[in-house]
Amino acid sequence: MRNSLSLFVVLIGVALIDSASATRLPESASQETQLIKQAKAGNADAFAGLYDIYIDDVYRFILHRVGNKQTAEDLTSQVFLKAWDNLGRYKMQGLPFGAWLFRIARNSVIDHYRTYKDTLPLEAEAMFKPDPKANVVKEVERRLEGEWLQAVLQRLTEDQREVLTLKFINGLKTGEVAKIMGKRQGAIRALQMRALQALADLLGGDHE
Amino acid sequence: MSKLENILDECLTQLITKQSTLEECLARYPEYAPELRRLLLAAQTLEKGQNVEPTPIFKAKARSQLMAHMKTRSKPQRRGSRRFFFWPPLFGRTLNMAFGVAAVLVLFLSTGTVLAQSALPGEALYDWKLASEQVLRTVHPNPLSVDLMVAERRINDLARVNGDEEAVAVALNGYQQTLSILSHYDTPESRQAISLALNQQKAELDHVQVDVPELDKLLTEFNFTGNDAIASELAELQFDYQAINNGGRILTYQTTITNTTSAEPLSATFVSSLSTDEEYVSVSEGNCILNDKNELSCDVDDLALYEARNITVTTRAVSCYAGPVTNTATLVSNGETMEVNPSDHIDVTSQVDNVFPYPARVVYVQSGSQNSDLGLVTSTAAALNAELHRWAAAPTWSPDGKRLAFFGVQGISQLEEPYNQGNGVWVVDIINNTQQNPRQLLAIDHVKNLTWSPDGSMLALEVGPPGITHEVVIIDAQDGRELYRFSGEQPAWSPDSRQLVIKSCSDACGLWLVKLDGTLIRQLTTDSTDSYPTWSPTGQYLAFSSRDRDQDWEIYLLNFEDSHITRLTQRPGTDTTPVFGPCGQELYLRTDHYGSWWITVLPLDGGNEYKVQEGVGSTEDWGLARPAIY
Repeated sequence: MRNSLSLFVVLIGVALIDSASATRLPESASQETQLIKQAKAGNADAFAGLYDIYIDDVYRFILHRVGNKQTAEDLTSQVFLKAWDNLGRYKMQGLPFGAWLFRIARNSVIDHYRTYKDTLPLEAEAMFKPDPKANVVKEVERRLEGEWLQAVLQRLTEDQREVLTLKFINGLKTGEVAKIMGKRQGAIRALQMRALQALADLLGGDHE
Repeated sequence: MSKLENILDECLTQLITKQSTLEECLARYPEYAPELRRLLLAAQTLEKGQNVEPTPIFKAKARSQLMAHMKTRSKPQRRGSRRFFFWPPLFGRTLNMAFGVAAVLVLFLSTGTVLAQSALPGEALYDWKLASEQVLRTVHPNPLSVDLMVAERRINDLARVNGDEEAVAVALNGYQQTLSILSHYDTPESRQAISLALNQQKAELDHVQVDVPELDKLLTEFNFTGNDAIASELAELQFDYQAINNGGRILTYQTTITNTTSAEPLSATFVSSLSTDEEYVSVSEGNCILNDKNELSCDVDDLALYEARNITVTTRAVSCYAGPVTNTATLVSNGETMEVNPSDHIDVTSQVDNVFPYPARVVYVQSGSQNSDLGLVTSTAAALNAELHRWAAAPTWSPDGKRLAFFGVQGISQLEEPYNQGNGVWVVDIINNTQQNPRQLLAIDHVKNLTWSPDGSMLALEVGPPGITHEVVIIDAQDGRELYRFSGEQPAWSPDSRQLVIKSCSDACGLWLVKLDGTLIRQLTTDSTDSYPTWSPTGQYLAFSSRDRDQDWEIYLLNFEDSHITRLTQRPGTDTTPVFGPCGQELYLRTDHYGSWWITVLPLDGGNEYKVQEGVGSTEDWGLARPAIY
């Protein structure tokens, strides 16, 4: 009896850990599917469970897109509020839930840039454009490692930054990235190569 | 190219799933190895990005906001959800019974545990829900986040069972137990996160009119009222300061001050210390004072919980400065309501670039067959006043940029009072329109090449009708009194106002350095067509135009350090009457190279020329049409 109790406790723990701290889109999503069904039925706790699963991933994606912690936090909060408000539109047989969240996150980033661009003076706007001549090595020396990567990513184009973040930081497969970005897989592979070439150019000889 | 794309994707997939190593992948495609290695290594650097995580404080705050949002925007199906997921009573209501059928439960474990999470007090799966939380707490790497989650869950339980006294008591008891656990956290970071969440929960409980004395007690303790030890360790206001542009001469700094750790409105003072290389322009918030130490001090009052205040400070680089500027911002307590961590002190360095053309006001001479008029334009060709003054030529700015002296040409008396005195040297106050504005400084005819001394005390001019030897005359800028007169043409002041360069053939033809009384010091150039000298503000260069050096009027630059002469223009047409810009980085000139007479500006470093004003007309005498720059 004691052994079966221990097994039970461990297995519950594993089940909860899976839902509370996963960092990848679940391969087999039966628990997640249950949470989504409950959340769609109006269960706030279930949606909070989905929040726990995806908060880290969504934040990581947004942070590497915008390069600013405060903005990333603001946009991440908005993503989950929007997701709750629009959960009725989510079709379970369509995009995986994680991919659907990333789409919301992606649109939030785009909206943010659009709004930000409209309100910035021209001089300030220039700093968001990638500048291949800038001395990246000197700049990154001043930054901590986490910020270092964000600084480098900010020098890529929007599409390049997005594909690298989804693929290598959020760990999605090429097919999943294609769904989120609304492109064909072949286009994602081409974009991925151009992005890595641009990144390799920025990193220069120091990382070879 | 598409083949490499596919190979790259294949290798990346295999590396990520650890099906092969980088070297194995390269060995399979030796023809692509160098480029493939470069790209795979670049991809590896991105792994660092996986380590980034949101802070527990943010996660707790965002979760609380989400829960509050969901309460206000609940779904229409919400009522039905409890029944929909009701678990059959087969497994009983106690955990012991569940243990008793553990072997069966294991089969349903995954689904069952998830379903239990929506159970309410009094329902079959509620104990299972509590047990699963306990388990999660023991195995989770961050127990605090679990405890905060559990506290939030009990609040939700309370809200959902409202009216059922027994169920309320169970949920309340669970919440009190969680508060007890939370009270044992003692690091400042933990307490900050807990305080954030509890403040939100307090508001939620107030909304459903449930009073929890233990919560009030804990909030009192954690909100630092009476706990100086914690207050001194924590900044209660988050403080962010950054440059929002970089490069250019206008510098903008943005600070955001957010109350994150107290429900009580907080106040503080934001102090921004400007560097000596920048000047204050404006600030977005009121209540700011700029003191004589170049410090901007702004009071930030009554910041409610989660409220953020943005202050934007705009400065500009001091004249002609280029390079880095460092601006320091500090948040200090106003001594009444809070203490601030003294490490909240942020340095921001911006880069000031020299711009081309440097901002300047350009007075040009619009010449016709009968008259000369003055127009005013910016260095970037923005029109300011095309009719600055009529019947005027040979303009020169006072060194402070407030007044303009010019030669009032034939016809100026048509302007009537006070111009009925006619031709002569006139001074107009551009800033203050006083009764004496304009005034004639000296009644005189046949004047050209008028130029104000850099110290502001004198004016030099060339005088003489055509056909006779011209003279340089130096007059007092206050009263027009003649100070010196000697043979020569086209005077140019030295930066210290103690010497002149003139064009002269009295000894040998060329440009000569002379004293103010005309005494020759030394010959600088030997070509008889070297003309219209102008001295750079630093004194290092003398620019002039010359015809015979290249059989065409071109612009030249003499470097006093090595006496080397460099030709700056080489093209068809006439380039003449150069004048240095305010920082000495560029030369303004008249040119007909483009088909008609233009004022252009040319960088000394050989960059592209910039059009300032086109169609300024030809003139019989370039000494009347030279532009004035400030």
